[in-house]
Order: sequence, then C-alpha cells, then structure tokens
Amino acid sequence: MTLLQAWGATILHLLLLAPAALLVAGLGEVARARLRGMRGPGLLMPFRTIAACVGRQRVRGPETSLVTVIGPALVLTTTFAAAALVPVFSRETALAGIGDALTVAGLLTFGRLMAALLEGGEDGTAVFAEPAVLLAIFVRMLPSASAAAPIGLAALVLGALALATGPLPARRASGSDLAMLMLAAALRRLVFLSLIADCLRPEVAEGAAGWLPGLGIWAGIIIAITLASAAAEAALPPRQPRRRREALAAGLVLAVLAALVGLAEAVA
Amino acid sequence: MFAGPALGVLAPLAVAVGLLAWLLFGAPAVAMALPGSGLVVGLDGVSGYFLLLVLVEQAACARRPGVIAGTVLAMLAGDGMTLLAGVALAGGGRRLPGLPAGLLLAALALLGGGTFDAMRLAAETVPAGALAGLVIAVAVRLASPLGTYLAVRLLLDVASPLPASAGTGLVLAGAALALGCAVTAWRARHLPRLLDALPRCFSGFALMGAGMVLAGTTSDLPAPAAAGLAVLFLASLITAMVLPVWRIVGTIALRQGEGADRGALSGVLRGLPLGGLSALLAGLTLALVPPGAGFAMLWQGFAGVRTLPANPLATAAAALALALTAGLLAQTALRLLAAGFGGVRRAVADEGQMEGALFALFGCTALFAGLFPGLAFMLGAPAAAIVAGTILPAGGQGYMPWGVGALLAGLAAIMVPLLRRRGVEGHRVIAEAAPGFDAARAGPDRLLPRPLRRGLRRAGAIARRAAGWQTAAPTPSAAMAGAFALFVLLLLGQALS
Repeated sequence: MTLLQAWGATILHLLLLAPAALLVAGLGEVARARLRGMRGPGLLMPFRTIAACVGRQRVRGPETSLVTVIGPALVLTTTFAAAALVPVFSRETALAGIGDALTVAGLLTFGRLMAALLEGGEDGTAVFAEPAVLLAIFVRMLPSASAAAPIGLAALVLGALALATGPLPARRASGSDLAMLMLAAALRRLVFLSLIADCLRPEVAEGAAGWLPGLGIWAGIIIAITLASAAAEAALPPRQPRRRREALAAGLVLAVLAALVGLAEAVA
Repeated sequence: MFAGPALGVLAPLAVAVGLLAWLLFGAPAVAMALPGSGLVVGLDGVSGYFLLLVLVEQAACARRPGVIAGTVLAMLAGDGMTLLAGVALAGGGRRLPGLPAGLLLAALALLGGGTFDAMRLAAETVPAGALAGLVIAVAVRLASPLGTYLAVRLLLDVASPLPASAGTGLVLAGAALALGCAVTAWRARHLPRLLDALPRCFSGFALMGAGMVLAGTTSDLPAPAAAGLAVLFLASLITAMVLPVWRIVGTIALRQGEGADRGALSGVLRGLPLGGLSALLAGLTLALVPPGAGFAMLWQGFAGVRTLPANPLATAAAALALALTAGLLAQTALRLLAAGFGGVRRAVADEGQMEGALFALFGCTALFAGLFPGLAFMLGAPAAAIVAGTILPAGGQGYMPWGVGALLAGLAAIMVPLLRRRGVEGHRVIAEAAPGFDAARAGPDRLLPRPLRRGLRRAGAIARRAAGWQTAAPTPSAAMAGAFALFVLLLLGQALS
C-alpha cells in the first residue's frame, strides 16, 4: 500500500466517523422504539438534534472551573481519537501504528472520566468497566487463543454494550457543549461496535480494492449488532444502573475465564 | 523565614541535577570504604537512578529526616552492613518498624554478608526460594522506592541468576501490593490516607516490573524483560515526579481546610491556575489514560504479563490485578479531580512561590514522561545494563505515545471553533427533553405491502405477548432471553468467521 493510499484511507475514515456514529445512533433509537411498538424518532434525528444544539446559547454557571470549560471538548477529542484508531473499512490507515485496542480502551476511559467529572465526579460502573474491557482486549491480544476467543468476545460484548448504553452524561450541559457530548456518546457507541466488528470480520483484499467490500462488511456487522442490541435494550428496563453493573460484572467474570483458557492454551 | 523551606527544596534538587549529569554520562561505578568504620559505600547505575528519584521526591514533599537519611544510606551502600543500617534507619511503617530490617538481616545472612562483590560470589549456593521470599517480603513491607531498590539490587544484581519462579513471585507480590493499595486509596475518606496509598500502589507496579525483568532474563526471553524494565522505570518516575503534585495539593488543602477529610480538597484547584493544570495532568497520569506516563506503564505491563514465562493461573491473576488496579485508580483519580475542581473557589494565591515553581516542574514532567517515555529509559539505561545485560526497553510496538499526543492535539485544534462558538439567545436545549414521538404507537412501515404489514403486526403482537413486553418494565426473563439471543448471534458470527 502506498503512502497516498494510506492517507486517503485515513481521511475517508475520519470523514466517515461522525456521520456513521449519528446514523448508528439514529438506527438504534428507531429499532428500539419499533420493538416497543412506538413510532420512533427517525434515522436523521441525531443530526437535527446536534444542529439545534450547536445553534443554541451555551449556559454556564457562575462557578465554572477549567474542567467545565474544556471538558466537553476533551471528551469529544479523546472519543474521536479512539474512533480514529479503530479500523472501519481498511486496517492500513496512516494511524494504524499509533495505538492498538488497549490504547483505544484508554482513550475511551479518558473521555468517560472527563464526562463523569462534568457530572460531579462519580461513575458507579468504573470499577467494573475498565477491568472487563481491558481483560477482554488482553485475551484478544494473546498469541494463540482460539478457544478463549469466543468467551473473550462475549466478555467484550457485555462490557462494551453496558458501557455504550449508559446514560448520556450531559445533564448540566447546553448549546455546543451539549452537542459535543452527544456526538461523543454516539462515537463511543460506534467505537465499541467497531471493536466487536473487527473481531468478527473476515479478511478482505488489501489496498484500495478492498475498501468497498471492507466497508460493506463493517456496515453489515454494525447494523446487525445495533439491531440485536436494540432488541436486548428493548427487553431490559431502560437505563437501569443495576442492570449495567450486573452486565459488567458478568463481563468481568467471562473475561477472567477467557484469560485463563487463553493462557492455558498458549502454554500448551 | 523563606530560606529554610527554600533550602529544603533546592538542596535535594541541586544534588539531583548532579546525579542526572552523572547518569547521562554513563554512570561510571564508584566505591570507597569509610575510614575507620569498615563500611563500604558506592554509586552505580542502579543506585544512582533510584537516588535521583528519591531526591526529587524529597524536594516536593519532605519526609522525616531519619527516613530520608536511612534511604540515602541504603542506596549508597556497598556492603550488607551499610544496607542493613540504612533500612533500619528508614524504618517501615508504624507497626513493627524493625520488621524490614529483621527480614533483610536474614536475607543477608543467606548471602553470607560482606560486600556486594563477595555476596555475588556466594550467590550460587544460596537457597533461591528462601532468599527470594525474604527479599520480596522486605520490598512489600517497605512499599517505597527503597523497597523496589532492594528487590532490584538483591534479586536482579547480587543474587542473579535466580530461577524464573522467583520473578513470577515478585510479579504476583507486586500485583497484590498495587491492587491492595489501589483498594485502600479508593476506599479512603481521609486525604492523608489516600495520598499515602498512591505511591505504595506504584511501588507495587515497580515490583511487578522488576519481577518481569527477573523472569525474562532468567528464561532468556527479551520481551518480558524489556517490558518489565519499562514498567519499573515508568512506575518509579511516576512515584517520584508525578504523585508529588497531589501531595502538594493535599498539603495546601489540609493547611487551608478544616479536618483531613477528602472534602478538604474542595475548590482548592480553582485558586491555583498553574497548579490546576498540573494537577489535571497528574490526575490523568494517575488514571492511567493515554498519552500519560501511567498508560505507557499499563500498556507495557500488559505486554510483559502476556509474554511472562509462568503458570497460566499466575499470569491470569497478574492480568486481572492489573486490570482491576487500573479501574480503581481511574475512579480514585476521578474523585480527586472532582473534589479539587468542584465546590466553591478557594483563595490560595498566597501559598508561596516555591509551590508554583514545583507545580510547573512536576506538571511538565507528567506531560513529557507520558509523551516521551524514552527519557525515563535514557536515565535508566545504566541500571538496565546492570540488571538485564544488553536487553533494552521496547520502543512500544503498537503504541506510540507522541503519535497519540499529536492526534489529540490536532483534534483539539479542530474543537476550538466549537468552544468559542456563541449561539443565538434562546431557550436551553437539554439532554433530558423526552421526544414526544416515543409515546405514539406505530405498526410496520406503510411502504411495505399490505399482507406483509399485517403479518408483521400480528407477529410483533404475539412476540410482545409471549415475552411479556406489554408492560413498561419487562420481566427479567425477557431481558435475559434478549441478551442470550445476542450472545448466540455473536458467537455464531465468531465461529463462522
């Protein structure tokens, strides 16, 4: 792959991220509403909401700190950076060597920390969230872990979905701050789905010839997981913290099991 | 009035600058016998590196004179007696302060005593398991840079080569120490207890790194050894140069606040412009997120654990401890930052120029150590040559800290227009505004053919009735069924791919 192709893929990748994230968010909302027997907001609703927020006045309290001012931008920056590192239609982008899945998880943690800071500093899921996702990624990185891969993937799915479907941390934001946080939430969900999709997708041709098939496969997997997760979310009571903690704890247990199986296999 | 504190800060820093230059020039080993006492003192790459970090930490937060004198003496020691005297002087905790010295005495007795050179000659006949157990117990009990130094000096240098199982034991002991202290910090309501637990936690990481180096060098595997060196150097650097930022903030808060509760931090960072930024950087390093030095350490830790030549159960336990510690530290950092930046602004501008200068120094270190971890490796190169031979720390394949930093900076530059944007005057758009359309019931899409629409509507009604979705809050069985279906789908996908 030439340098030009690598940078072309990178630019396309970066341009694709925000619209794809908002479309996936819209699709999830529509699917969830339809499964509950409701009309739903429409696919393009997230675009309209964000456009409306950007055009509105930003309201901040008199006692704003450094974190309040730069927090939303940091949340969006780190989440976007994480999204930029996850392969979408090609694994051969110019950003491919900068960070691996652990880096992506770290950047997402950064964004979640800043979002939690904006909300007052408590996030009940943090104690389970990082370990579950980190261990699942650790299993994926083991040299030979074919038997552990499905368990690790299940752990990643549990952790990722529980994290991605959390409440929007933007109760105190408004205007463009709120727009940034909403876009970051949509991107965070896309990152987790892309991480899962990357585990599932088959190999495609290298170079520009593989971009279109790669994009098709990625979109197919993302849509399938979005619809499946919408079904699961429709069944679960909406946004209940206890359910998220249970899912994350189960994810952690599965991740430990996967690590054990994977390491035993690597030794054997 | 100003001279006393200034001297206490500048004197260790001046010695540290001298040591820095000596390390950069290759750290040629020096040793001499103290006349009339029979004690031997000396300096080489290992002791120079740890001494540098201890002096820098001392400049930020002065320890008791006995502790610092004992630590320096132990690090300058060239024989067992001086080492023992230093450890005895430094003590080890409030309960049973003589325990580390007692355990060290037993370890030195196994090695035969005398100078380090004499011990190296006798090391081949030493019962490795007993020696490793004693030294690990001393290091965990001390839980400080001195403890890490003792583990590195005795297990990786003097008694080398020990079996790989000693390295695994050190990794597990370090992991347990890091996890235990992370739990203490997470649960602590009182600021001094919290701030005391953090350096001990990073000492645990450093011990893990030392264990990886030991296991890697003994098994002739460069990957865990290189990753272990990186963990060792970065964890030590964070203990000495990043965590003191929070110690300074804590000292200011305790001086100005009422009581030692974690809430004493409330609003302190708002009154410290430079300190606020420094504390934010240090907090992000503590939270182990990229591109901080903490994340570089965590990344290398996972890389080392993945390639560790050990029992799968031990490796999985180490990985789990690393992951849990990361989660707990993230939560602790969040609480510290929220307390510091939350609450009402406190006027702390009269705290003195010395704190401001230290904030600038340590804040820059927190940033640069994360972006360029090679700086820590450069300082630690003489130590690495002693403990691991020619193995050099890995460059971080798969993680490029400056690349991530550049990516974040570039994206942040794009966000500036959004930060500056002033929207039109009007009502606030808030996140909780529930969309009205959610309340409206709808059937299948009108564009579908009528028979298909009718069929879908009936199927949907049957499915909702069967799964109990008629109510607003579905039953747990329905929830479990949905989640189970999702996993089956994904596992099938995995199997097919």
